[in-house]
Amino acid sequence: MTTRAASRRHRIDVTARVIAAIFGGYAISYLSAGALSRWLPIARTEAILWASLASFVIYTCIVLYAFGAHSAWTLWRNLTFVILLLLAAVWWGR
Amino acid sequence: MTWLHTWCGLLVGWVLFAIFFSGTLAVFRYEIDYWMTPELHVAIDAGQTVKVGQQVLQQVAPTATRWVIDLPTERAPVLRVRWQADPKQRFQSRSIDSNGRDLAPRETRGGTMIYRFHYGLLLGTTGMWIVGGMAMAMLVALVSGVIIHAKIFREFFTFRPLRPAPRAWLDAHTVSSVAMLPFALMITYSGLVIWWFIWMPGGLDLAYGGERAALFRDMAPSGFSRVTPSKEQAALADLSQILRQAKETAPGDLTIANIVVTAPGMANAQVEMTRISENALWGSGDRLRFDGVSGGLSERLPEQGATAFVTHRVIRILHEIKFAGPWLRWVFFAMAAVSCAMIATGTVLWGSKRRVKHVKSLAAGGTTRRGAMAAFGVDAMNVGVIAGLCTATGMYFIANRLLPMTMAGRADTEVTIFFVSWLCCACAAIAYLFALHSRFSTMNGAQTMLRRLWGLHWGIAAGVAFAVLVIDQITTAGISGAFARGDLIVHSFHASILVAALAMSWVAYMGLRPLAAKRGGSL
Repeated sequence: MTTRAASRRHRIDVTARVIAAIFGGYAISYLSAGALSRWLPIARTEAILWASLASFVIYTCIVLYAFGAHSAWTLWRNLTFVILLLLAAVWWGR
Repeated sequence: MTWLHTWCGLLVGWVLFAIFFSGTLAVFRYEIDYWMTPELHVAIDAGQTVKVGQQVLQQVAPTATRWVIDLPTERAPVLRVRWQADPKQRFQSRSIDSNGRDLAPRETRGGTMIYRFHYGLLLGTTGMWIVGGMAMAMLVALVSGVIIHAKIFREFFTFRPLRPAPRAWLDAHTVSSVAMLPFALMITYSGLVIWWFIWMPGGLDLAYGGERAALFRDMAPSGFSRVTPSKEQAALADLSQILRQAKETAPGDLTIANIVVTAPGMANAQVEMTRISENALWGSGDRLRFDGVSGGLSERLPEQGATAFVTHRVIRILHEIKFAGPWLRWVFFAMAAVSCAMIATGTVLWGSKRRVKHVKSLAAGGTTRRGAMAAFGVDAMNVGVIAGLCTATGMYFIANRLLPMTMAGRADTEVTIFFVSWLCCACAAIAYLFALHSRFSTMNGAQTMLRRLWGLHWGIAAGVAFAVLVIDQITTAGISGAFARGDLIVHSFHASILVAALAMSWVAYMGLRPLAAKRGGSL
């Protein structure tokens, strides 16, 4: 019984990480592309391109972090925090 | 849940294999186009091309708003004229020889179909999103593979109870992965970045109001000019004279792939040509603009742009191998082919690992027979997808030669045959598995059966590849004709098919030969 409960907990943990990695990761890279485009102190078209080039690297890093994070709970907490931060950056960007 | 994980993982592997396989072929996209239109295999007098092109265009489309003459190049030695009746319409085209005769090539999607499949699976925007997702998964797999290399080896790959075969697959996978890592990283990242505005439009949406066309206009130095044709008519200058002038404009050793005429026959006609360098990634090419009536050079726009623009462009050029001469192109082809092998062996490895687990627990009474069957089903699909794609490609080439010339929807039928052949291979592999399911009682029987299945399917793929050569010779005198013309492109195509056929025959032989009882004894 205990092993079954443990394996169930493990599955929920993995599912939470996968969802965070795919959708949370995309949200962060998408928003970071937007925020960087607004904050980089160079021409707008240039900033957009640099930010977009970087966004795929950011996505990769987030996915790696999702599977390396201490727990699914801290992962979700941190991702939410970053998303809020980026939303604010997009909102107040130039 | 486990089955979801396995099947999702495998699906990624299969689609990735298809993307890499088609990408490998797309390296020679224009060469495949050329082979698939044998009507164009005629000698073209290089001195006459522009003159004849201009005459033909004057005849068939005197009132068009734009003309294009596609000049013969090393990769595609064909002469083609295109015209656009008005700016909103699609280009119409005609392939001609250097006497202006309409060559009327057979209807085919050619290597361009393979190229489109590579980036969008022929499924439109949905397909592009699938490809983008797969590429992202590949990038994560590559980077995480680098980071936890040692760990992966300890945890997963030390598992080798089936000595000979999986060990061999593992070695093949490791060797090709390590060797190809830098190339795979470059090609995956560059592939993702090319269409950033589709897959990651955060910057475009949040900092430019989502106005893609406006962004591109502001970003690119300058595109082809948009000329509103004037009312006044004026005879167009001699284009061959303009081309000669372009060749004399320094630096002179650049390739001119086409000549674009805007508003031909009008007083404000313009002639533009892009010159590209085959020896440099960026910075050597330019675009020349001529006055269409006087024929004088009016502008020279060197290849330049802001840093990020150039960076993106160079990444794209790297992915599309726009800079490479024939030898470097072959190097890219070889590296892409090994990357295909890396993905294929990885998928096979995964399948065999699961199979062993299932068969073991079947023996111990821990799994149902159905579970073991499912594990073998993964292997069968591996065969169907990997060997089947090779068969399907061969069938696509055969269909190109055998379908009647005047058939309605000929080009689409070729593509249909490609997909149907692929599907048939997958179904045949599954059917084979179910027909012989009684042999699952022993590991030995099951293992032998799988080996035969691989052998059989590689045998079919090899047979189809040989058939491509034979049918090409019978229907269009492809081989003897290429020798008569000294046609390097067609020779290379035949040689590649022959090498692939021989390699696949060898693998088929390895699968089908009887094994000494002792050698395969412990599986």
